[in-house]
Amino acid sequence: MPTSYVMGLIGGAILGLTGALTMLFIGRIMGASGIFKGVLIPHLHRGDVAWRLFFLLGMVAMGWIVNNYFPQFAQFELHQSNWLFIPGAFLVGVGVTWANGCTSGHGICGMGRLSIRSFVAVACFCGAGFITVTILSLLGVQ
Amino acid sequence: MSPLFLFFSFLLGGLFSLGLFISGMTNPQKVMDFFNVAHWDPSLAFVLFPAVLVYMIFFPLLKKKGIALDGKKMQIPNSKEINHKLIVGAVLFGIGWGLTGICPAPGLANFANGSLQIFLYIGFMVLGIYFAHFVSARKM
Repeated sequence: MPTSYVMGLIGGAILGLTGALTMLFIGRIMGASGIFKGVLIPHLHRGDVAWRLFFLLGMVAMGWIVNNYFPQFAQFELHQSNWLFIPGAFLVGVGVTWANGCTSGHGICGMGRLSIRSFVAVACFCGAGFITVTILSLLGVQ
Repeated sequence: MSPLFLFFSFLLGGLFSLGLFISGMTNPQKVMDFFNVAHWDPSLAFVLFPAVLVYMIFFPLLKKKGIALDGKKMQIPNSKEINHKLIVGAVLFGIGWGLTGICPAPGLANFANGSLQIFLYIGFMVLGIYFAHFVSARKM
């Protein structure tokens, strides 16, 4: 089995475990967009901003550690033109807000707890991802 | 929330990030290769599968417990409504994910990598979040 598959399995198991531990310790869904949104729009979750801020700080801090001390795990290859990248980032923000979740909240936690909304969301965003990238690839754009 | 649980939250965020880096989700090119049916690299399917499986194993036990270790009731979403907002939102997110190769968690995990692209990503994602929040707040 290729190394990337094994690393995927290990990393994925860590992600699922972290989701379960987040529910056990904090009592919340481990969803990156929801946690981020709660900090950006604090009145959505009154008095509930602090844990989100610390969770995000933990994410960024680990990113800093990996980038500086384990750069072999911090590969970041990006060849997209900004004409696609910038609107793409904006669409991510709009989409996760309306869908109320992203890959972690709907993908891991939502499907893990067999939520019908999450299965629909994952089918829609993965489907759209496959179509978008495949079309751009066939057009030779990326 | 007590300082101890804020510290736990910080550690959980770190562990989340670590899982993303080890799995390769933080590399936009891996995401592009997964979404490209014409030259398919299935690696990322190997990430989602164990992640969902592990959560699925623990979730019934957590739900039965009901109270988190911080002493408060667990907040588990219970909506089952499939509406336009969910579907349109998910499709737009998927297009954006395909255009960038980055979903929100890896975007945040990569924040300290110092590349201009990640600052652009976070900045425009934040704009998108405020825009969508403003639009749906006006409609309601």
